[in-house]
Amino acid sequence: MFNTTSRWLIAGAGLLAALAPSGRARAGQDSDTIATTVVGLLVPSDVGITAFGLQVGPRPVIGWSLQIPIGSGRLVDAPSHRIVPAIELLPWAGDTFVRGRLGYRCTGRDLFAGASVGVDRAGMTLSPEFGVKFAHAFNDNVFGFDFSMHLLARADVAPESGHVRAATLLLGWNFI
Amino acid sequence: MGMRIRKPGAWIAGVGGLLTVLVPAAAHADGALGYDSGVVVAVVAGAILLPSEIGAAVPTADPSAANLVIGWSWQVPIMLPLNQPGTNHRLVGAVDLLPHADGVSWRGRLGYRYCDRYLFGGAGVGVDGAGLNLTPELGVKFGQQHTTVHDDDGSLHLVARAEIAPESGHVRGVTILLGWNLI
Repeated sequence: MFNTTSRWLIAGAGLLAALAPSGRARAGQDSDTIATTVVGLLVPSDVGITAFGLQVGPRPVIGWSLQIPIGSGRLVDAPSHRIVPAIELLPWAGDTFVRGRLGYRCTGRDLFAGASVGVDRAGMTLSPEFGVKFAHAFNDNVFGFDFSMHLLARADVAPESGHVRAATLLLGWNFI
Repeated sequence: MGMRIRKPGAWIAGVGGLLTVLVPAAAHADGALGYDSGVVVAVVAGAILLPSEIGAAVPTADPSAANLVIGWSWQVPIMLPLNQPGTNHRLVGAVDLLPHADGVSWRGRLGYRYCDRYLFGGAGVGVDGAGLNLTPELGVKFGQQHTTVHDDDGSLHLVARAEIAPESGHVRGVTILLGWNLI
């Protein structure tokens, strides 16, 4: 029923949605929390641009990303160490494609940094990232939630040559 | 089905820039809500630039050609400031991105919405590659942030919309979107 790009995106979003209740329902166990989590996972959380070099102009990026805390069984502990899976859509006339990544992120209240392994049609990349968080909804973490916005810069490095294949700048929001 | 634009990056930058110019006015309007002004500016800018809806567009002529829709949607209360009577009446602007394997399509919409705490309905005029269409909509809101009624009540919504060809009156397509809203 859906075209290929749509199928991939829907499959990814569906998988993330299926994982949502196990991670977030601990905090509230109410329907609003689950609904917010599901919508938060389905609706894109990042938007920005990526540049593949001087020959190719910047292209828009729409991203879905998830942060899974590690090192603690309770979200209320607001662990700083997180596994970060992400799917990104790069819409472009005649050349739309999807890329994915899986990485690690260490995050404080206002700063975060990490690295990931990405895969796109050109192959695999190593992607260090650095970001700032701002516009916090709460002065302190509330049950582990830190609803805020972020600005993220990331480089995609080709592992075989060490060259930077692309640079990406994303604006987005996060629950934790 | 959609309007083809060869330079989507330029369009996104243009629309984003235009809307960003509008942010200070919106933040000023929200100042009475009691939030820190810097937070208001950031949240409003984010709400304008970030996609707020996702769903599917189903053409009635060929439902098998249904397409993913990623949407940016904005509501502007006709009456300001917020938390005053009369903000149920809103102007609604929207831009939808429809990604395909071979590219992307865009479409736009401008309309009116009457919004209650749990329900909303409205109508608008849309434009895509097939031309103009009339687009009535009906939606539900849920997951309200506040237990009491506030016009600045962040919540989630599910909206169904029909695209009607004005010359024939036929329903050209149906769109269902799930999303979030600040008001």
